[in-house]
Order: sequence, then C-alpha cells, then structure tokens
Amino acid sequence: MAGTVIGEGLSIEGDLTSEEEVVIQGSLRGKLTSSDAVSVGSSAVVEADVNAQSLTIAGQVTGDVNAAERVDLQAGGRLIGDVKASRLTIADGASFKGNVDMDV
Amino acid sequence: MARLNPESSVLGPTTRVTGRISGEGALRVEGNLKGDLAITGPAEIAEGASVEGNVKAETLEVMGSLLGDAIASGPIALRSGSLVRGDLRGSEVSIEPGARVSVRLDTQFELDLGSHRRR
Repeated sequence: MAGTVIGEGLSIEGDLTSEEEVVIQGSLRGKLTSSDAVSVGSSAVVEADVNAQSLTIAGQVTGDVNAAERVDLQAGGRLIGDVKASRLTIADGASFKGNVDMDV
Repeated sequence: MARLNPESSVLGPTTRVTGRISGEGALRVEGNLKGDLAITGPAEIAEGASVEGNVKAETLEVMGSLLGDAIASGPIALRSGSLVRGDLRGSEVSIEPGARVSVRLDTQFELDLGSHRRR
C-alpha cells in the first residue's frame, strides 16, 4: 500500500516530505522529498525539485530530480530538469530535457 | 498504484506538508499538514495526525488534532481523543465524549424552542 496518495483532482502548493511511498496523480508545486519511492502518475503535473529513493515518471515533472537508487522515465512521461541518479532509464515515447549525472 | 480510486487521497503517517492543499475529491490526513486545506470532498484527520490551518471540505471527521477554523457544507464530527481549537461551521457538529475542544460553533440548523414550551 502506498502510504501517501495525492489524487488526480488535488493540488499542493508547498513542500511535501515523507518517509514512505508517495504517489502523485494530481499536481504539486514546491518541493517533494521522500526516503522511499516516488511515483508521478500519468495525470500528474509536478513543478518541484524531487528527492527520492527512486522515482518513476509517467506524467510531467519540471524540476531537478535526485534519486538515491534510480529514475525511470516512462513512455508518455516528460521531464524538464537535471537528473542525479546512479541508474536512469528513458523509455521510447518519453521526453526529456536536462543533464544527467550518474555520479561516475 | 495502490489505491484504485483516483478521487481518494491520503497523506500517510510520516508525510508532512507545509503549504496549501486544494482541489477535488476526498483527503485523509494521517500525517501532518501545516497550511490550509480546501477540498470538495470529505476530509478526515486520523488519530495521531495534525492539521494547523483552516479546513474547508464537504464533511469533516477529526480523530487527531486540528488547530484552525473549519467550514463544512455537511456535518463535522469531533471523535473521542481529538483535540480541536477554532471556529467550526457545518450543517451539524457532533462532539464525542473524550474530545478535547475549545471551539466556537456556528451551525445552520434552527432550534425549535417554541414547541417545547407549548407541551
């Protein structure tokens, strides 16, 4: 069970920090930090710097993302911002603009 | 996705939000919100959760703590163990034994005092 779910109709303006899995289907503008997995759903619009254990993007993210483990940009996902993660996948059909730092 | 209902939102127990939450659907707060909440669906402040800010929702059920004013188009329920300080306005307000409250109530029903007197 995801600990935190922001549904499709909901929007947050501000900072969200968590120690559990976070699923965003709505919108978030501010800052998003979780020590667990973060998932940005296909209907989601995130304008925030994201720090997470791992990050899956199927929606739109504008902001720098930093993942301890991995970032997965899925088909239909859109990321504008820099990525810092040791593993990154960009699926066919995803859009991405930014720099990648795999910490090598 | 763990929860299938896209209308249903949860702030989990370790989640803290500083800022404003608004929009459509329901929200259950199990963590901590510092800021205002304005939603079209029902709001719930779970046991151990806290909200510091004003709440506007369809209905409101408080088992945790609320410091701020609340406006609901439907009922507001303050459950046993809740801690609430602020002005409350709802179609009805219920306060269970064991709730610790310091509130001003503004409910929208009419008290029919006349019928008691006539009996």
